[in-house]
Amino acid sequence: MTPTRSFQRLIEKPSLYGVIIALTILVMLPIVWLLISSLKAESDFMKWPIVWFPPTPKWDNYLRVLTDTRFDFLQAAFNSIILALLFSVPNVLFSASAGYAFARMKAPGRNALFVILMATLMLPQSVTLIPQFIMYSRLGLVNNYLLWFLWGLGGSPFQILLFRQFFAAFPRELEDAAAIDGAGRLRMFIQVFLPNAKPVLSVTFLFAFSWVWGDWFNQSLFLSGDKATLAMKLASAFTDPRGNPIVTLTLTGLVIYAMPLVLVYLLMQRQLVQGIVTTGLKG
Amino acid sequence: MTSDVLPYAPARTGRKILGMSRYEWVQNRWFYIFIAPWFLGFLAFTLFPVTIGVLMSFTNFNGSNFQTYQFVGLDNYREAFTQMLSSGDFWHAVTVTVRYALITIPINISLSLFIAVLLTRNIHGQGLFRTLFYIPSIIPVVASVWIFKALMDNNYGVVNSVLDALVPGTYVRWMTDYPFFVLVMWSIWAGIGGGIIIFMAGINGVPTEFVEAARIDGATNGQVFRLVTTPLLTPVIFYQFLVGVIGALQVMTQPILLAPGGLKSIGTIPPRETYTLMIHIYQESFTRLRYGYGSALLWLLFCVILILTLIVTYTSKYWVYYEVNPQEES
Amino acid sequence: MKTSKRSRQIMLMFALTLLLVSSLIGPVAAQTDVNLVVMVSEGELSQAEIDAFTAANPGITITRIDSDNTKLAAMVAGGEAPDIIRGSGSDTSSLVERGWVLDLTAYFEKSTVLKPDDMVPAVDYFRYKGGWYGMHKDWSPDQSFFINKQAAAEAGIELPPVHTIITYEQAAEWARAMTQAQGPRVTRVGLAYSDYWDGNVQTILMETGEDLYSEDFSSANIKDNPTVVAFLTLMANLAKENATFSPLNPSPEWVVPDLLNGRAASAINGYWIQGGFRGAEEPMVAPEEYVMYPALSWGGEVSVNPALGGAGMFISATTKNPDAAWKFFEYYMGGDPAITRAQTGWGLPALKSLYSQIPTTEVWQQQYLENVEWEQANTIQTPRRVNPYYSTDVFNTVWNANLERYLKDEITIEEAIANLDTEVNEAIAIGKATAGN
Repeated sequence: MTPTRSFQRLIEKPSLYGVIIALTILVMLPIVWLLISSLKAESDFMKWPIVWFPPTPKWDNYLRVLTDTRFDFLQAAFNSIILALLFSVPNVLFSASAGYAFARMKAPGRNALFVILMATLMLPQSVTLIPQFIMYSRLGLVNNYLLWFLWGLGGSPFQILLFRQFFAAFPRELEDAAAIDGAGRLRMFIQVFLPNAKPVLSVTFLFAFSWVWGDWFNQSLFLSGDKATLAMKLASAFTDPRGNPIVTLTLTGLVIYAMPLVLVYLLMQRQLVQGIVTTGLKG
Repeated sequence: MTSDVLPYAPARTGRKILGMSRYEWVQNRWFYIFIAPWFLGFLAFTLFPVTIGVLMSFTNFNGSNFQTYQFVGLDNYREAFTQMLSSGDFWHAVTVTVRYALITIPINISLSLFIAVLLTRNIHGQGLFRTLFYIPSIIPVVASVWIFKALMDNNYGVVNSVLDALVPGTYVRWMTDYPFFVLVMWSIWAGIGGGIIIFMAGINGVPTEFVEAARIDGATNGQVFRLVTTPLLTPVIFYQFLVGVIGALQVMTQPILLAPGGLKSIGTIPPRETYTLMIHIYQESFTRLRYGYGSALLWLLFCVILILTLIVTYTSKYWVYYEVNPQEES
Repeated sequence: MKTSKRSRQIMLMFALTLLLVSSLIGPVAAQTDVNLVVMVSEGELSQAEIDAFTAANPGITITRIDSDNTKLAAMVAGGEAPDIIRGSGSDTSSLVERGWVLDLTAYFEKSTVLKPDDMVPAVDYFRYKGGWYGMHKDWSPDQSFFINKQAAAEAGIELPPVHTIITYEQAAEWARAMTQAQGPRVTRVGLAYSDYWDGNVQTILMETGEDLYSEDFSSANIKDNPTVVAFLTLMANLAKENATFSPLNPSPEWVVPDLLNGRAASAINGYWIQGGFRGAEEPMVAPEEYVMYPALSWGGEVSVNPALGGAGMFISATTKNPDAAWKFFEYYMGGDPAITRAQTGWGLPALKSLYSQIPTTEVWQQQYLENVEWEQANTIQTPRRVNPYYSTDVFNTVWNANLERYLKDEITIEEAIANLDTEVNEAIAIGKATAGN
């Protein structure tokens, strides 16, 4: 290492850190502001010039959002959870099975089907929405959670691809060994491949769950009234009995809505990255 | 045909269904069973609605005329073209959407790549920073859009307060005068996280043999990045670009959620600056009750996306380098 | 190892089935009873009212869904329209032309609760081409003029005695005077204007017996009608000066909190807003400050103030349970909910017999009621003509879009009005073509 090189390194590091930290602060500011504002009283929030920090943090904002009978946060949260589970569980299972089939089995038509799969990955989802709505109305699937279950049964192209890439990397010997033990295809899948797919299983479950958790559009289109989910409720502002929107309480509700997801993602970071590495990079 | 694992040997007869004998069917049954849920879902939720959509686009279906709708042939498509060329809402929606795509996709990709590069230098806390940048992407759309809506509100937003503190008297009506800007800002804020993670994984995943080989040949860090890492990242860039295009052309939820007003429904109309194509199509279909015409518009959009996808994919062979890995099953 | 995996799978299957069954139980259980889907917002039909009905009518269950025009259109397209639809009286003609609603004449004639001769004249909104399709849950003349006494005094305005008919020009002048700003930020708007553009234009034209639409509703005359042009120009320019709310300076909430929080100094709106005033806790501007005048007049002599439609309910033409739906309709329109509504004053009842329930405890409530009664005797109250071939939403959204462009100086006011004319006529033509079948 020459003297200039080490000097370069000396300046490089702090300025690098500086830029990174500056960018991070910029990106985090809205979140921080969200958290602070969720503790403000509405009158403080609406003041001009702005009240940066609430004089006393209004923790009971959280209580109020959770217990307000008109808003019915807990019911909506419960609905969101049920809906998300109804979708994610079959989605993960049947995406895994389809991915496994594409990865480990050969059969006539496999390539054609795979092309179809790739095509649906690129299909703009919105193109089918109007006919789908009319179809579901005729079948009584509007305002019905069953619809999400059926969607889940069909898997998702992206998830199937994830599983396919993952399972493709398994050595052939695993199957041969299981075959010698007398295992059929199904047993092999359930007892050999699935248990070893835990990271991908959890990642795909997380993706599916968070898709439903955050999907405002489909839920607004198909659900209503008692079946309303958190995403739907929070899209419109929290209102007081007279119909006035209260922004601070809306923000509080959003914190409660968003934080569980964030926490789970944080806990599952490693699997997440591994999942992405397994698929996206290899095209 | 492979020798699949079976505990018995089924009978072979001469009859063939779908090109396969009974023996082959039995042999391959697991593949079809495992594929079935997805395929049935595809038929029911994709192929069938798409077909109905195409058929509907040739009619003047308006939601109530089940008995009396007529086939109007290509009238809807003809109208779409004339509408597009006149300077009406349709054309405006197209320009808004194209502007949105042209601005957000390059910025998102380059910014996330840039930050990924920064983070993959030898620094502490890579994971922490990566996580922090990713959080805006994780937050559900409803929440992140609301944050921006409240952040940039004309009267109560922090942004105006900060600006006023720096330069007293500044009052920019972001949400009403520059909603497009707000939309783009949101898109970047919430969009770079995913790209950062993927790019970081890509950069970290460059096989060390390549890097070492380059170093042995005397390459500097910069050269290693330019000549080794970047080519290996091209598949990722390609993927991000493709997904970005498809998504940007269909943007609809965020403009609706950003629109002024507290009550949101799928029929809400955002300000003109953020009046995207999908919103226009939905207005035509659900507010003007022209489902046939709306379907035609959707089909045109689909064709455009398809063509773009093909173009991008076709040209990709000129700039995307796929790593050749002999162990990979292709 | 094997057994534990097995049992985990079994538990998983079991849980799945449980979830599946629980989500299906809803529709299945409902099928044994009659289930009515009522499309009305929670604020207009409370759970308590639903429960009282189902308790009194075993065998009928109610599912309430939020009122949403887009959803309604989509549901009808899917063949699953709600049984009872909350709508405005002005929706009647277009709904009937589309074939969405049921003729209730026979039910009304037999009813002991909702008697035809107990109905106020405004219920005519729900009659079309000889059929009778619904009634109001409440209504009021929608374009009375409310003004803040204190704000007026501050601006040096001397308010005329009650019952004076004030002109639009005058009100516009006052609005400019009462607008307050803190630098570039407008803190109080002079006039809070609700999006009743087409209704407003119609009622002005009624002063001279003109109409926005042609005799057979096949076209709208906008850009060639000097009154319409002058009115739209006046309001657009008011918006440009930030003296009213506009797409660029939208109301943060809606008219009631705007008035009570002092964000607007006057408003063109209906008697029904006193329901909102009534519940106000410590408003920044007390309801007493607001004086109610008859509707503004364009020409200065005649005031026209019908209800612009009034909120009410219809029964779907495709309902499978018309009798059960009628039972609910009767309950809502004539039973306890109607009495409660009359007492809270969110509008005038549709049944004359309920007028005794209107609140008059506060001074301002008395003034407003008195003004309404004066208006009913002294202003033109004929229901306005509503074009059945397109939804009035179209008029409003097209005008708002063009107004936005005008306010941003992208187009001139003439162009904005011309665009409005073109698009409205296009929409009418399309509606006529598909309805004619």
